[in-house]
Amino acid sequence: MSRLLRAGLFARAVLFTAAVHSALFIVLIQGFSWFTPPKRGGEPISASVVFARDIGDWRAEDLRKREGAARAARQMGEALARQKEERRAAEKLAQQKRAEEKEKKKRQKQLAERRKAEQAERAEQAAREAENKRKVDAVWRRAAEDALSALIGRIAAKVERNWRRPQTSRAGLRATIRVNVARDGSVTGARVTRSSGDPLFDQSAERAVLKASPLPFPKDPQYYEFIDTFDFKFHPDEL
Amino acid sequence: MSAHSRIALFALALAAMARPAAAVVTIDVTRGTESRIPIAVVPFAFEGAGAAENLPAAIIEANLARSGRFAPLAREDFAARPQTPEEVRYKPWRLLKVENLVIGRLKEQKDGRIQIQFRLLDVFRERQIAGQKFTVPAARLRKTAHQISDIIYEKLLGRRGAFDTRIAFVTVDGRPRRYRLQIADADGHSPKTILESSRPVLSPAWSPDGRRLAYVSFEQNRSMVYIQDLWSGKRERIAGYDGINGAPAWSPDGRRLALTLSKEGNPEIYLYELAGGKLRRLTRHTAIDTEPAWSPDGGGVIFTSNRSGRPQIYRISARGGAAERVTFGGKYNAGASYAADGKSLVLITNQGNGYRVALYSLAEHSVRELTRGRHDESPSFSPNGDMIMYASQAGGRGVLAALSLDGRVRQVIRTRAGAVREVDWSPYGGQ
Amino acid sequence: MHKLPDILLRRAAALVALFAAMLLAACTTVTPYSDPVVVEVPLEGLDDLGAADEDIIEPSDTYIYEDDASGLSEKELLEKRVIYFDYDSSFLSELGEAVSNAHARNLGGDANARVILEGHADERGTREYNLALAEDRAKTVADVLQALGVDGARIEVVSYGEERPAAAGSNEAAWSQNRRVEILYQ
Repeated sequence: MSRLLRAGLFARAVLFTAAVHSALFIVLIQGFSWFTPPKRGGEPISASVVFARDIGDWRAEDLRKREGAARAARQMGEALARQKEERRAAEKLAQQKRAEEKEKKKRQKQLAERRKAEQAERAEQAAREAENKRKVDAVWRRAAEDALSALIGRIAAKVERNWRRPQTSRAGLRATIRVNVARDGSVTGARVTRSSGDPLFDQSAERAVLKASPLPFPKDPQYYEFIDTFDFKFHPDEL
Repeated sequence: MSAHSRIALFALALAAMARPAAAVVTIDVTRGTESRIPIAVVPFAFEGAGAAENLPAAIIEANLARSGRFAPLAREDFAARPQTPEEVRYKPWRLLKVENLVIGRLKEQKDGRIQIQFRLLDVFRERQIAGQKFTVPAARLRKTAHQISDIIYEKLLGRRGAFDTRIAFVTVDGRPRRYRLQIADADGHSPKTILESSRPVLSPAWSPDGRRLAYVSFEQNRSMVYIQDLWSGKRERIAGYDGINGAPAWSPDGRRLALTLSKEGNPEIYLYELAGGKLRRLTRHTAIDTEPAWSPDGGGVIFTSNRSGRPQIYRISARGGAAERVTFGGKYNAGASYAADGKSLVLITNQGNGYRVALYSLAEHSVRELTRGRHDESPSFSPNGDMIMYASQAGGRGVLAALSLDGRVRQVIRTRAGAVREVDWSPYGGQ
Repeated sequence: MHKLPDILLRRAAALVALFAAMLLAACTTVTPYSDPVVVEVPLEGLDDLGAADEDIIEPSDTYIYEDDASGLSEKELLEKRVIYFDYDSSFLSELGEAVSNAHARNLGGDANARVILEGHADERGTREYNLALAEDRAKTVADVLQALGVDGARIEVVSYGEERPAAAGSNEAAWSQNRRVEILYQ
């Protein structure tokens, strides 16, 4: 049993020594840093077998050595334990971090998705609103266009009533008269911006606009903010 | 709808039409009127001993009215009577919708002649369109007024006026009857008798140069054709054959006269060369062929023939050949002459309501009656083609009437004594 | 021969007429334009020239004339010196033909008798056309005379167109009197 014990002790010692040597060796080879987390977390440190030189010699100083070694081993063990603890802690931290990261990512993803959904909803809402607005606008615009074309019609009718076409006019004559109006629709300026080439025709057009003054303009002076210039295009359609 | 929403509508409409605010709105104007030009002829002031101030303005006003292209404002509606451009205030005339204003002054010169100046003003564009000064003997004041009328007409219508032209016509009065061939201004004023006879005179025809008149006179108790020089009074009988000698018509170049002779049995159209007196027969038909009139290019002659049973217009080349029928429809189409553009004829038609002046479109073969009388005859174009003078009846008496080509304005020219018939409007020039 | 004094009388009348005509012809005066006779002709205002109040009478092709030659003696036919025509026509009516024939026989009996046939038209239509139409009427009568053996040299045809109406007025009653050929013995 004692042999067995001894052998057990020995084996333990050898293993211990080997472990210490390996540790030292590794420390020597690799350097050591408390703060460096294991590069490959979770992977076992590889052990190497060291054969004893002389067990007889070893014995004498074995105790001392053993004590020292034990102390060292204890220290080492503690360090290792600490290290292990620390590693575990680090690992745990990393794990925690990873989890946190994962959680964060998940949250972000969720957030993004929510945001996307919200955006889609908002877009849909906007589209609905735009569609409504478009429909309303279309109605208004039609009304507005009707109002404007009615106004243009009234103005054109008055100018046409006042336009005495020269009898010499040939077919295809075209003249444009640029006309400025005052707030009440009265013509403040008229000039030929595109001549028909026939002075009598141009004159008749200019005169027609002047004769039609004031143009049948809406009473509200604010219309003037929108319309104060007209281009009258004179082109007889039946000659 | 509130004013605001209406304004908003406008903004919208403008925006809808892709135009910025305070945009230029384009308005198409395609239908004008062809109404008469509203014009005011202000009586001219006169500085001198006489009292001639109203004469030129009154003549100008009457001329413009008669043309059918102008609507002179009644004097009682005049806003003012300015004589110089400085005195003109345009706005009141604008309110009266008068487009043009004629103002002027007369000043007697030391030598007794009269200086007359006129201005044609554009009321809406506020500028002078024409202005001129003449110094003339008092006796020429009337002619000057016609010339001014021509200037106004041309400036405002772009066509030459025909006021300073003359008409030849025949008057009949008295018992026993006296026939007078007279020449007067185109408005019927200042008639001068160039032939007086106890026998009928008809068919006066101006030479294209306006210096001679061809006519038919019965002074030898038969119809014969004469040409009379207007200045010398010298005349020549160019056709006094057996039978009818009638219907003289000058060729556009003035070298030939188409006329109707029945010396070979029945009325046919002949061409008479004025230089040399050569006579050539143009038509050959047993029916009546008469009333020749030249086409504007002188290449052909239209005439009246009853070869279809009723009078209709036919055409034949001035070189002869076969005649082709021109007018169709109606019981009676006669006495035709070409419009200046050669596209239509003015003639006497009877569509069942009387003998009336009508325009016959050669392209469409359509007749448009211009008058509403029962015995209208002898239509004659003014040299610018814008008016027709014809003989009509009013109050049982023969009168002359001036007609605008659209048929809307007719003015009767009466003589104080006697009936008027058979009119021909002179060409330009020859005075 | 009992007609001779009558014919002589007519000849005398024709001579007087011819003399008067020559006098009147001499009465024609020509005035040059440069030496004017001034007559005041007032210009009056715009005047609408509508149809007169009288009813408008359509040109008639079917106006019924006295056209019954039956029962008329040769003397009665010869006493008719005017032959009437339809509107725009130079066809002889039955009566017109009978009258023409009677005058042809009368002329045939006197180799020296000469006749002037005056053609006339009513006022309607153009003057020159009416001048031609009136001549055509006179020539129709002349053709009958010649067909019955009267020498053409003894017949003179003159057209007055619408210039010498027999009846005044603008109605069918006047017009029917004016569309005529007058037979004037020389």
